[in-house]
Amino acid sequence: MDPNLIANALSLTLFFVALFISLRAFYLYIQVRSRRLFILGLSMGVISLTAVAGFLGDNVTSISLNVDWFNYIGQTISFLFILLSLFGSSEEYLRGLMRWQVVVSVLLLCLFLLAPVLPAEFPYPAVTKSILSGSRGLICLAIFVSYFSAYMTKETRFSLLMSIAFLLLSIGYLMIIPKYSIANLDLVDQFGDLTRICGLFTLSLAVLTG
Amino acid sequence: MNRYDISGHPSQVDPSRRQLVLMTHLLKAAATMSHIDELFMWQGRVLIQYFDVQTVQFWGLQAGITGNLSSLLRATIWRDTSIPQHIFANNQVAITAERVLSGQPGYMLQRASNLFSFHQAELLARYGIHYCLCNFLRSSSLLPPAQSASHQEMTTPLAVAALLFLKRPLPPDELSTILVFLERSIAVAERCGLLLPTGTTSGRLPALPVKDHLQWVQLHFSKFIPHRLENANALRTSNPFAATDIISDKQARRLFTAIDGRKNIEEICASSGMNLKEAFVALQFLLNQHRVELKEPDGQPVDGSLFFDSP
Repeated sequence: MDPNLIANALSLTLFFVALFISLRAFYLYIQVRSRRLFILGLSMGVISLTAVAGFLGDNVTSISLNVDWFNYIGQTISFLFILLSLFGSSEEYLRGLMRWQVVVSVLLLCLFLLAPVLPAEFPYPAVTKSILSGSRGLICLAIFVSYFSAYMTKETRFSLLMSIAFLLLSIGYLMIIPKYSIANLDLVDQFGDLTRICGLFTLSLAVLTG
Repeated sequence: MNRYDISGHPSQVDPSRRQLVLMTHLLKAAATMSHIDELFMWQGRVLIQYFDVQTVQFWGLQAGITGNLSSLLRATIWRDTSIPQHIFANNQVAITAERVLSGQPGYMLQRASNLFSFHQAELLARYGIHYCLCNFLRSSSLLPPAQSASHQEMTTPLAVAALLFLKRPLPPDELSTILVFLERSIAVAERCGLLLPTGTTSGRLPALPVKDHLQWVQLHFSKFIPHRLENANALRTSNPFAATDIISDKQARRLFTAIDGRKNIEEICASSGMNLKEAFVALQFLLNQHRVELKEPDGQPVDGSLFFDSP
């Protein structure tokens, strides 16, 4: 079995789900002009790009592509903006958030384009990767709490599915933290990837049928 | 005999009881009146009758349908009918009244030469009038338009200046009696319904006849500041990708895009290239869909139902 099979499946799933949500969010933003939709669209767009980067990093061996910087930081920041957009309703807050996200996204894009020249490894990789991966997990956990509390207030299918989706994503990210400091934890890694794949399927279900 | 006449010569009334007598008569008279201008006329007659006042004028601040404010002579009463009225009914006096109305509530008793131009003071002096008492009264109650008003005038928060033209300065006790009398007349007028209570809107908007509501809003809405209504909880409980959330009207969408919570309608129109009529219709659409709320420049919320024809 291809050792990258599950990782590739995760990358492809992440790419298609995130891209679909991003395009749909931008399309609706043009119609509705909701700043939250813009933030969601841009965040998901960056996440879909991290999926591309992850796929290229795992499968392209002819050139050195150090995409981990963009992957970890990009996903962490994108999920963070999604979380921040769920708090605060004032126009000034959302307008400021939008502006910051655009600026940060441009910087992230530079990080992606600089992948061939960035250092191959993070400084203190065990610690750094654990923190970055853990951050993704914690932010997804916070998003889960936000949607779950909304579900407790008003029980809708959408909020339930979103809660489940982000819970699975959170578990998937947190589960793989030990692999950065302990060797031979491929099984844990794959299980974490599968959990995230399930989370992404739930997310697409929420968006399509919620 | 006029039903408002006060019996008895002023000199026959004990000065110490004068205030009480005045208020008693005021309460009786006001109860039979149907318009605030009648009260002004009655007050003027009383002041001329009881005190050494030559002419009394009541000037009120009046708002027009276009939002402009001007001072309007509501009542004028004079003792000596042989004095030509143009001595008192002219631009100079109007300017002084406007100056009083734009100042702080209170009174001032001054020589005519200090209040009016040299020419006006000379005119007044020719007829022995050397002093003028100006008393500015203010209240949150609404002053109805004058009895002879056109449909261009509206109820306006009460701001009235009483100008009393005198031959000589008033003794302190008389001055105090007059000031108290004028001030308490406002409370009596409110109680008798001659002044209108503050409306059910923010209180900053003058009360209007129902048929003028929409017209007034159409004239003034350009100064309102629209704010988007975005509910964070709604985003978490309902699918933002549901098709029902789309703004179907193109102009409404254009207006919604331009709303930033700081610019008023006029500024939004200038930046987006819409005209006020288009903006008004678009605003009605957005208000109907509960996508926006309106606030006055000072932050007071505006009743959105004003934008629709009253039932």
